Amino acid sequence: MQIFPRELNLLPMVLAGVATVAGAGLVLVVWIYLSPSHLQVGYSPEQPVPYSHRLHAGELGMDCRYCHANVERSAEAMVPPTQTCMGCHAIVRTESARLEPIRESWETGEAMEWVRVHQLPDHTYFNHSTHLYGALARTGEGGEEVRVAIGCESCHGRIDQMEVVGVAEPIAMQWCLECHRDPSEHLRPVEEITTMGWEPSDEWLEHTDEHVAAVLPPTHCSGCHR
Amino acid sequence: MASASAPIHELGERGLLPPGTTFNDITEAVCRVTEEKAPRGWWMLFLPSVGLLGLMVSCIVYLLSMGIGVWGNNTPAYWAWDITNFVWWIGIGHAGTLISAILFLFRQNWRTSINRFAEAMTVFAVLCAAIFPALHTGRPWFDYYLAPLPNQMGIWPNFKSPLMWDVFAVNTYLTISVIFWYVGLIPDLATLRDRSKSLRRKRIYGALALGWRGSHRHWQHYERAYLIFAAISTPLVLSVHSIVSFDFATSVMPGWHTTIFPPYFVAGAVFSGFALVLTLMLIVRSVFKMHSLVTLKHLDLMNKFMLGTGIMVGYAYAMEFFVAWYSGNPYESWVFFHNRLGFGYLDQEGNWGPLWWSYYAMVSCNVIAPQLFWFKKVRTSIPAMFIITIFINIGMWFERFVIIVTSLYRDFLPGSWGGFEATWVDIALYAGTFGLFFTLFLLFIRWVPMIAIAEVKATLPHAHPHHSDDDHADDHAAGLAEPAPAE
Amino acid sequence: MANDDEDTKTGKRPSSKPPEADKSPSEKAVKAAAEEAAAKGELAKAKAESEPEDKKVEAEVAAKAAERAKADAEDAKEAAEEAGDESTAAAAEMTAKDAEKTRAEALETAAEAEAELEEAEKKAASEAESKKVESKKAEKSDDGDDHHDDGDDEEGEPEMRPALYLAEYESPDDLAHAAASIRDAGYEKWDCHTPYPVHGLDKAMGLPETKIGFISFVCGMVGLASAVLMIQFMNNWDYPIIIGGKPPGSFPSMVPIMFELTVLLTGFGTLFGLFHLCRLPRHHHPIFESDRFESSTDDRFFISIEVEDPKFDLKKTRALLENTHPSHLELVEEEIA
Repeated sequence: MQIFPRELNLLPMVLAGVATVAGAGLVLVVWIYLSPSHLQVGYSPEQPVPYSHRLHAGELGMDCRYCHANVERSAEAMVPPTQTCMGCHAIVRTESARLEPIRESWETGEAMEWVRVHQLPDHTYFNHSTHLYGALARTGEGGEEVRVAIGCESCHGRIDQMEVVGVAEPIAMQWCLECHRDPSEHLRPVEEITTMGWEPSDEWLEHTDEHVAAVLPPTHCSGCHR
Repeated sequence: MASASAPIHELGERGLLPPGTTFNDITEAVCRVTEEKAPRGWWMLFLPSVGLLGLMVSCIVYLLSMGIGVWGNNTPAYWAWDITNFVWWIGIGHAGTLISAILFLFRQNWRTSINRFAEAMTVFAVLCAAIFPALHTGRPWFDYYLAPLPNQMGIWPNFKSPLMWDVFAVNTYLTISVIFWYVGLIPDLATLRDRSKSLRRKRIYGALALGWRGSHRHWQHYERAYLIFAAISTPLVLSVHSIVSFDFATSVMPGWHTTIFPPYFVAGAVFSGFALVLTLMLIVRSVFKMHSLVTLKHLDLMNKFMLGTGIMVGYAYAMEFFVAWYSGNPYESWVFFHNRLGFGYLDQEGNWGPLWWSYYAMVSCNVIAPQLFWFKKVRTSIPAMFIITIFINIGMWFERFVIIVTSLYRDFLPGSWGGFEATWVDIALYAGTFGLFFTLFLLFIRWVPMIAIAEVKATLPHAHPHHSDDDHADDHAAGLAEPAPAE
Repeated sequence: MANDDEDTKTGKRPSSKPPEADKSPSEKAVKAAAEEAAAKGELAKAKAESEPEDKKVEAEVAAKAAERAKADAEDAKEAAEEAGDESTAAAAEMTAKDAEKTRAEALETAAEAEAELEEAEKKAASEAESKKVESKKAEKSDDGDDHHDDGDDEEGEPEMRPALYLAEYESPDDLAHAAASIRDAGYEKWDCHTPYPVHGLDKAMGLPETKIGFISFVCGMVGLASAVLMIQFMNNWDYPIIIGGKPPGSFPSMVPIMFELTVLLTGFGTLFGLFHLCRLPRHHHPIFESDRFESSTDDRFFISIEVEDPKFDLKKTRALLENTHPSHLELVEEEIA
């Protein structure tokens, strides 16, 4: 008794085609869409106060470290307390409705609840000061010494152009490793770490090898997973 | 299958099935199970199994929502019931391929009555086993990191890690077991298809039988393919538990770091696998009345196998103690004489190792109980072998528990000594995997031919043209063997 | 052709009758009529020689015309004899003789035409047959879409066509002997169907050695090579991982994965190689049209010979299979797609 139509004999070919396409598609979907560059980049949460980095860091030209003080000497980049805000806003724009939560925090002593934008997993050890404090590089035969470090913008992007701060780079292991393997284009003089849009001079670029030799970032597991 | 069907008369072998068995008898006996209504015994086993399966699912959901802190694993026993259960289930899964592959290569005809059954058990046991390592990673949704796929971390799995070898070994074993099992099933599914009365049933079995039409041109490739599967499965089955043992043996933990582990684990796996096959076989045989296909002779042979592997396991236990003593290594001696034996070394307060009882449970179940199989009366007594196989199953679970927990719970520094207590999630999850196993298994024996129909038919004395017992057989063969003259 | 024989017989009649004197009063008219008829016969004969198809018919018409002319001439002769006109009777007799001659010639032509026609028919039939075989050879693919419309095998049900002969045997012994005789008859597209692998059938069927071992071996080697390349690429080149101070490319730690991947790919190769060599899955096959075939997975043994076989012939193949003493023999037909 014939129980299947003749057309079913095409099934193996169809299945082989479907399996190939589906398999490749699945890998591609996971690879592209489940990656941090797709899932994390562009995350820019709303903050309790619409603080504008574009205004403060860009137009007013404030240094990053005015608020995120001591970031080059500590592991964590701190989020400024209300006092830092009030240092200026006790005098500037004291009536602004947008600043109402700040004044309230100042009066009550309750901390502002800023929403964290960049967060690394707990199993990853990251230290801001190692990246920002700078390593001593000897350039030239005269023994000139420069401190080379990584600038803020390498990881956080052009903060001075962001009205609302968001994630600019995929904060994922592969991305970390790219720089750890070859940091040359991200190294700059320690004086310039907070400069936005810094361009290396030709003279600086001549000494790239010495700069990298001074930094030697780890690429082994325990460099970050301690 | 080649000349496997011939009993070796010189050795006094006889055909395994009763004389006068016809092809149709075999078809009937096996297919009837899938065609008749399920016997009451089946429902009595199936409903509790589904209940346990539900328990397993709820435990997993609970575990995922709470984290693996709900297990009893903690410093210093980072591995406990999870890995014990994993190794135990994997061990159970060894009998199937052993019976299908190794006994096939050795032309052991009696395997045909039990191989399908044992292969199914392998597949289901390996599935149960795979649950534990998958869960114990803590975040199973990241288990795909184990696969060598491009990913956002920019790194690849570490192929020097025995845990990675284990992933490959277990997955390969599962895949090959499923393929082996399914390829063996194709002709029998065709038998079911052709016997089915309703179109729906015909279509389901027909779809799975892939249009098999018993063509000899196909059988020719099929037999060679089956031989190849047997040939690759034989080293595979030996490698899987060897690699599982590397998880332990390549570490530097006293009690784990020994070279005897691979053969010791393989022997133990075969031992426990045979025990569970036999336990289940005895139940199925009586529920579905398969006495004519699974005879006392089959059971006797399996018991002999267990006696042999039981002695190998006993030898390994003894040898570990010998090495601990002969090496003079105090840490090794401590593990064996305090943690396991209990009284060999006492701690400062003069106490025995607190888990000593697990070691005695292991030895009495695994080494002492099977010694009863020296007696033919025991080997051929159904109640006796049923009880002994259950003891062996328990003993082999304790073996893994002893190896894992008693090596960990009292390590180098007294300061980091701890204990281990199973939580209710540990226990319920382990019980739940029985639910998964038995649910799949009962569905299998109900809907799939549980005995390899085609293979059993091929073992009948009149199954092959030149194979009749008379002496004229050779004359026949001579006539047939000449190939066609060239045209 | 039966007519032909009769005509030949009747043709003898005039020769048996001796010619007599002719005495017709209207001799001229009679003679003219007879001559006209004879001329018509000549014409018809000539025309008949042009086309083989029409030849026979024309020739027969000519013969009949000639016969009629002869009869007329004889009548004229008798009339002339009664009238005592000797010369007219003699002339009429001459005409009758001529007519008879013309008729015999026409009949000869008709017989020739008949023979030619038969030959042409034979030729056409053999051409059609060879075309049919060729068209079947052309589509050797087993995909099941073998539809061609040579209507010469139709038997009342226009949508069916013969697909294969299916012979059933009770025992593997009978099957093996039957297989050997079909092998010796030189068939190619035929098969044995058994519930389990019957040993010795390879030789009885004259099958070559299976190639699946080669496929498995190649796949296994691909597995081995891919393991080595994968580990070397991932752990030693793309992201070197130094574990336990062992150098990149350290061999012993690669062995387990090399082994596992070899086994895995051998397994896949064997599975898909088996499917490829057997052309499975193939859920639709004409053999399933037979209801008796359902016992082939139980306890019966079958031989099938497909029409696609170049040697297949409805009669000869049936005779061959009958000689092997099957317990049942049937022609399985399938629908034309």
